[in-house]
Amino acid sequence: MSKPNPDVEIVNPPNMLQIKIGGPISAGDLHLIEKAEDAIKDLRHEFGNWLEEEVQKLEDAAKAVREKGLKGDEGEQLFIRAHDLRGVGFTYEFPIITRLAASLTKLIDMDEKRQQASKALALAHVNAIRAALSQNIRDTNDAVAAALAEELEVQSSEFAKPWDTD
Amino acid sequence: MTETSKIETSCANKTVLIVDDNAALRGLLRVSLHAFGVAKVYEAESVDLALSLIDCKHVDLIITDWKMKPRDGLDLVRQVRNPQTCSAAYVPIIMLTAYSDGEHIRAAKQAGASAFIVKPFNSSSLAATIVEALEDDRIIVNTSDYLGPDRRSVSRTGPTTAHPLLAAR
Repeated sequence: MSKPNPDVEIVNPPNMLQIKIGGPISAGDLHLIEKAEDAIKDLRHEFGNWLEEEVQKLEDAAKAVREKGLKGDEGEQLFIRAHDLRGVGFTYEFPIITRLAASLTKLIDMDEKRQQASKALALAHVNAIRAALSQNIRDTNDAVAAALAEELEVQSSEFAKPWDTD
Repeated sequence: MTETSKIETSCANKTVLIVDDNAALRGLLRVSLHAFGVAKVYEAESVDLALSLIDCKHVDLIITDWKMKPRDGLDLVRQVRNPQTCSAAYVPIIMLTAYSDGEHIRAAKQAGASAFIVKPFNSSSLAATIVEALEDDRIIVNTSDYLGPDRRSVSRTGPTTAHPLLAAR
């Protein structure tokens, strides 16, 4: 790659038209945003089933971890399932599942972490996710769920601290 | 005065390919895209199926999940942006993922992704990113192994990306 020439200044003039109209979408788009949200609402009756499928995949991965530990492919599979759940929990109206899954991924998102992470802590996350779905606890309005999520997050963050780059 | 819909203008007559191994998420994306006025939506549950589809169908935009097996979304982006292996290298690609750290975003941009949606997404962030990707006005770079948007710059339609790191100059 060539070195930047100190004698040359690259100017990126602001796109004033874009600034004036205020971002990539405008007020004229609102009806389409609402239309999309309505279309998604029409699928709400499916959300529970879809989430159940994802949680079952997580539990299958957890079963293998329970037997063989986090250090091999089993740990990676658990991470993949947690990563998926983190992405869909909020969309399927269970934000607490996104939060718990995020905490689990933080615990086991690198091979190096999986070599040292507590299997019990990882499985506690899985149990909490299952409990949230089975008992229809969607967010932290439930005091017990809030306390549990916070405790798991604290422990996961504490473990992951040496890898934090922020 | 009625304001023009940018989404409608961007999406009209467009064909979008969704690549995700999760059927439910493909469904959510599909209904959203139809609501935005996209003319046709193709779906593929794997990178290999997506590449076969791109080979025989015209596609204006690809939305791909990152974490898939055996081949992932990043692999798809690299394959599409390689003019020796794909005839649709110029097509805008949106990466959809739960990864939000700078390292992953830089890797996606380096591979040639046009924009990035961090899950969980909503209709507004999806719409904004689609408009951004379809209106991407970056210079197209053509080398022996890469054909796609200039990876050193960002779209002049920005800073509109779903993640601030992609807008960093």
